[in-house]
Formats: sequence, C-alpha cells, structure tokens
Amino acid sequence: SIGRSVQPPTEKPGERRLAEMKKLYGVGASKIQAMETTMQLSFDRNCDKKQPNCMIK
Amino acid sequence: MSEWQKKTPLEWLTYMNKEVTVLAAEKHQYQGWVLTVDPVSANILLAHPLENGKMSISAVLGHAVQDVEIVAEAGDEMKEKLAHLFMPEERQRQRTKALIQG
Amino acid sequence: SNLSSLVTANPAELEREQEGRVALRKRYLRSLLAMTGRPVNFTMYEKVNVGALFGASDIDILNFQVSELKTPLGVQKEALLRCSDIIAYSFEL
Repeated sequence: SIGRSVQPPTEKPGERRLAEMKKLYGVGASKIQAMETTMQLSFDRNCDKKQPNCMIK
Repeated sequence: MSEWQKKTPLEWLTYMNKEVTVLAAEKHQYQGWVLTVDPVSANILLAHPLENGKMSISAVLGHAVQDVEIVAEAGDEMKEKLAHLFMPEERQRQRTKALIQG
Repeated sequence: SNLSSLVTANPAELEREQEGRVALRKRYLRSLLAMTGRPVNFTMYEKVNVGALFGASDIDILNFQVSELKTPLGVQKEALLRCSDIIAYSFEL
C-alpha cells in the first residue's frame, strides 16, 4: 500500500512498538509505556502464578 | 466498528468533565460524570457521587456503547474532584485514612 | 488504536491529538491501578451479572484477570474475563 515502508527483518519488536507509541503519544510515549509495562507485568505474573480459567460462559 | 469507537481523541476529550447518559447494549443505561475515554478500547469511564460520600465508578466498554448524550457541564468543584480521584497521592491519603479508621 | 486522523493532521494538530491521547489514556490506566484488589461488578451480555476482585488487565484491554469470581454457578477462585463479553463494570472508591 502507498506510504508504507518496508520493515527491515532485523528490527526488534520492541523498537517498532516504541515507534508506534511515539506516533500515538508523542512526547508522552515513554510515560504511557512505563505505566502499560507495569500493568502488563502484573497481568502476566498473575496469569502465570494463578493460572486462571478462561471465561465463565 | 461503532461511531463511538471511531471518534478521535480530541472528540472524546470534549466529553471529559461532562455529565452524560450512556445508552449501552441490551438497553442498559448509565449516567455519570465522564472521567475519561480510553483511547485504546473506547471504554468510557463515569463517576457517580454516592450519598455516603464515596464515588461509584463505572465503565461502559467501547464496543457496547451505542449513544452518549451530554446532560450537563461540571462546575469547578466537580472538575477538581474528578481530576484527583485516581491520583497516587490521593489513593495513599485514602489508604492511610482507612488504616487509621481500622 | 485510532490512527486514521493522524494521516492528514498538520504538526500542531498532531501534537494536540497526542497530548489529548496521553491525558485520556493516563487517566484510564490510573483507574485500572486504583481498581486492583477491589470488588468489581461486571454486567455481561445476556443479563449475566458477576462480581469479582479485580487483578489486572492486559495493555490492549482485551482481558481482565480476576479472583473470587461469583457466578450463578458458584465461585471460581481465579478467572479471566474477555472484555468482549462485558457490557460494563463498576466499583466504589
């Protein structure tokens, strides 16, 4: 599609995520990313430790 | 994607600090002061003061929002209240208060 | 997330939109943190209401991890709620 650059295969997923965050949140990107990382870490940790059953229906 | 989910952040911002009625899926209705709209999920977060001095916080999920109608604009006191609801220092203050009251 | 409006925006508009998105997202993430460990009521589709202690959400707000989920069928110690099954949730602060 028009305007989409080809991503080099060596690019790390974290870098692409940061670039996306910069586009969305500008100078506030790192602050938002820090908050999101904290939340995702506790989500992952809880899921590992507690092994919740998926869903009730 | 619904009209609500397609709005831009600047459009969602115009709902902040407004009292709204939200019509949701399965004819559910919610009323409260708009705290925020999550720009990722379009979830709309409402605050509704209770008689016991607490706040009831409800969120209608973006995918379930059918219509949002503005009823009133918050005064300065309410704006201030809404702005500080989730601040870390405010949570700490409430936690300390809860500890003291046991 | 909504990228459509970024395409045509001029730099000043883009910046306003980014600042707006930061303000909105920050307050929502803070609300999720404030919800941790609290009893939350979930209104699910098909008139199902359940209560649980909130644990955490993933960053895309697709799943909520909860404990002590009270369902019409009994209590589930640990569970994941899919956000697409939820109409609304509420808690007291």
